[in-house]
Amino acid sequence: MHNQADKQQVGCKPDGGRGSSVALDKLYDVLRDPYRYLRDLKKAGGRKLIGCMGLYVPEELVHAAGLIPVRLPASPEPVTLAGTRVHANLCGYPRSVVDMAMRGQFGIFDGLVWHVCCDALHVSDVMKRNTPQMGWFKELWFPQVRSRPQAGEFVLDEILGLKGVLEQKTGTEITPNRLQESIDLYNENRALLRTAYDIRRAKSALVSAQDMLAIVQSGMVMPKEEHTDLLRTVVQAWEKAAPTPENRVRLLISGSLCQAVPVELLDAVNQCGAVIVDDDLYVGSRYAQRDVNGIGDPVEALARRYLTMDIPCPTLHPSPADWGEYLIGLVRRSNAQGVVTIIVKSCEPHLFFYPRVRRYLQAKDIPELMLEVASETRLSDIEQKKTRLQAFVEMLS
Amino acid sequence: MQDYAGVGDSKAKLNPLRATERAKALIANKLDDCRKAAQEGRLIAWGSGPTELLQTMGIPCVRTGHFTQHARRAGVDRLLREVAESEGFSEENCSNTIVPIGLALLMKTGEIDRIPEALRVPRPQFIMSGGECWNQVQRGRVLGEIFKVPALVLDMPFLYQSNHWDRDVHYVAGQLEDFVAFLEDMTGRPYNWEGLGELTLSYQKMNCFQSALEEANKGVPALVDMMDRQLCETTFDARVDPDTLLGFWQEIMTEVEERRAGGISAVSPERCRILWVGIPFRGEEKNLSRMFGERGAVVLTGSFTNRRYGVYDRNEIPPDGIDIDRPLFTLAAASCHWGTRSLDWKMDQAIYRYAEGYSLDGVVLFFSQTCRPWGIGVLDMRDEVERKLGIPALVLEADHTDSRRFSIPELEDQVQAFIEVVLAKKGVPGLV
Repeated sequence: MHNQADKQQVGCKPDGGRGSSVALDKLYDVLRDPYRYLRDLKKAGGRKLIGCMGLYVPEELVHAAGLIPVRLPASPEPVTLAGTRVHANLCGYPRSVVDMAMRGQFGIFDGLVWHVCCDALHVSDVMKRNTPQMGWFKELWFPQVRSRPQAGEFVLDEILGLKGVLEQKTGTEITPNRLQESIDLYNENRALLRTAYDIRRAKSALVSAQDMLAIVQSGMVMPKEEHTDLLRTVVQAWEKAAPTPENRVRLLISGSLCQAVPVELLDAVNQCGAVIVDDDLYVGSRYAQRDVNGIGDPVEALARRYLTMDIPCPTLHPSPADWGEYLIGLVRRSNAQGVVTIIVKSCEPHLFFYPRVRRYLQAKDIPELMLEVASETRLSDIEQKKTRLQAFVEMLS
Repeated sequence: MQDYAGVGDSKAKLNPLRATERAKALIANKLDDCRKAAQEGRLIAWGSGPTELLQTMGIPCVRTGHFTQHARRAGVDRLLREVAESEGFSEENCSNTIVPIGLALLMKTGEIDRIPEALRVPRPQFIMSGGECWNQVQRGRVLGEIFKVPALVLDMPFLYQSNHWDRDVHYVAGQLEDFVAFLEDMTGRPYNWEGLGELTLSYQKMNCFQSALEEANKGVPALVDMMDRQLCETTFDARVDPDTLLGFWQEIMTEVEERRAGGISAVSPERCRILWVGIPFRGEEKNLSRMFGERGAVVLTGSFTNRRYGVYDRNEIPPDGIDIDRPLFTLAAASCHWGTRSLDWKMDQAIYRYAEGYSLDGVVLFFSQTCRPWGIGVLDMRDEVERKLGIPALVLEADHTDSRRFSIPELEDQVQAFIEVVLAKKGVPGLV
């Protein structure tokens, strides 16, 4: 029987000396068991944690209220209690979150901010009914057709509503200066992540996909100040390290997962003799895209970031960027030889976009492999996936 | 067919409304309207949502949800799904979206003769999507891409926030104004505001009929089976012209009064009374009536039947749920009320409003397997019914638009078991 540590074992770290550092080790520790980290954090400092769900929660605003925004990590445990409330064909990530809430694991959060960016996230209603012990709960909806001027007013109104709730719950006024400081911190963090991605593209033998997952996902959980300090150390070490030759097949991984790609899949890519040189993932490069433009009122700047986001997203209409064109750009930038698309079986937004993206890649002669996962939190058929990956990599070799 | 023992050792008798036959005739030629428009070179749309805007401009619309159900009844949905899936769309996608996408792809490749002539519809010049859920929006986008035509997509707030009601309705109303401008561009004519006002007025009158039918079913025994009412209500969705519609509903009310005077009930003997929550199976109303009715169960009413204009909206749109002086605002408010937005609101509108006065004996909660918005919270609703109302609830899961997942015999078994539980709880001699 696997114990908890085994279940949460993160895949291979690079060999000794390649990207290893105390700072990176700390980020890996967070990745291995984010909820243990959060429990320890809460015990140690008494700081308030706010769970954030959905793609576009303005974390900077939560931070400016003196709180720690935490992008809710899914649990690797199988869904049990939530199965009595939520059907199995709903997206695995919200099911996992509801399950954790029902099992009482969300006592560490003082509140939740829930951005309903797709139909599946209406599961918040079920969660509220079945977890009365949870702290306060604030739902958000941002217009998904952003082109009209009224969409901007709507987004601003929703953000101001969230601001009001945060101020009321904390007794802290979120002044423009406080918010600007938070925005500056988050922008710095994103810039460091983008630098890390640039380094990874150039030094793929040094920086693994698992490393990138560690630095991105830990940043979604840790206090941003602490994460930024550690990230800066990691990036500086990587910048100084000399590149080494990389002969493995170079792959780009793409998907619309709202949670992290299962680490077993990243390991499987390595085991098949390939290396992931870039990604098009939310818990990945997308999280680092597009800073908050600091000109003018910072609350309006937060709204503007959402309204002008130009990364492909299947929860927006029209998608801010042509996904096929976007992937071609990434492929060229990273010199990838092929694309692996991860589709979560129940992610309807992505399922609607995928045929178009597939056609586009085919038209541009970009080799592509689609892997469907039943749930984005757990993999039950890794060997089958490995077989297909192996064949794909051999084809590209 | 199951033989029953029980009261009088015989099946109960169904007394369907005569009006249901007229309803079928009224809606039978709606696809013909689209074909005729195409032959005459007039505009046609495909889609869903506030198609009243199109009706008042004389633009027929292939309602993709209805088409999907017709396709299932004709057994053609499998072919259309295969076509969509071969293009990379997933069987996990909502059935109501995949079938019309398959149809569009078939038309694009010139293979429309693979489906029966009765289901062949003309190409659209534009798409309209109601935005009731994200799948509707995506369907609109994909259809627009396949046909290379504009797609009007209504961005409706996913959340029902009562304290933001005005903001949300204004947001939607603003988009409807844009739709109106688009229609003026496409037709080269000013928008027919007078026509929209008349249509809105007719809906207000329709609401009175709907309310009267609801009231009629409070008495024991109930006068009208919900499935008959739903069949008649398809005249509304099929956008029959207002005068014909009002005349038709006057006939229904006259027939109901005749029943009241003559002591004719929907089902006799009436053994139990059921509330239906969720979308009724279009195209299977008669089967559902039979399943319940032969067992002495009358389906009194349902949340979906009352989903548009007025009965749902009474508290939100002054004064009676419809504002005939602001028809666009009314359309926007009705659109915002779509039932997927809040579980509390769903429970309130779908269950609690019928808790008093209807003498309910059981509740059926139906949802389609690929319709996740409707499915979320169904299990909580079931528990709430049993806890608060103290009556049995059945979660009925089926996909009435997917012939692979729809089986009348299976449904009948579930209905049989449910009615037995209901009757046992009532202490009424049951079915065997």
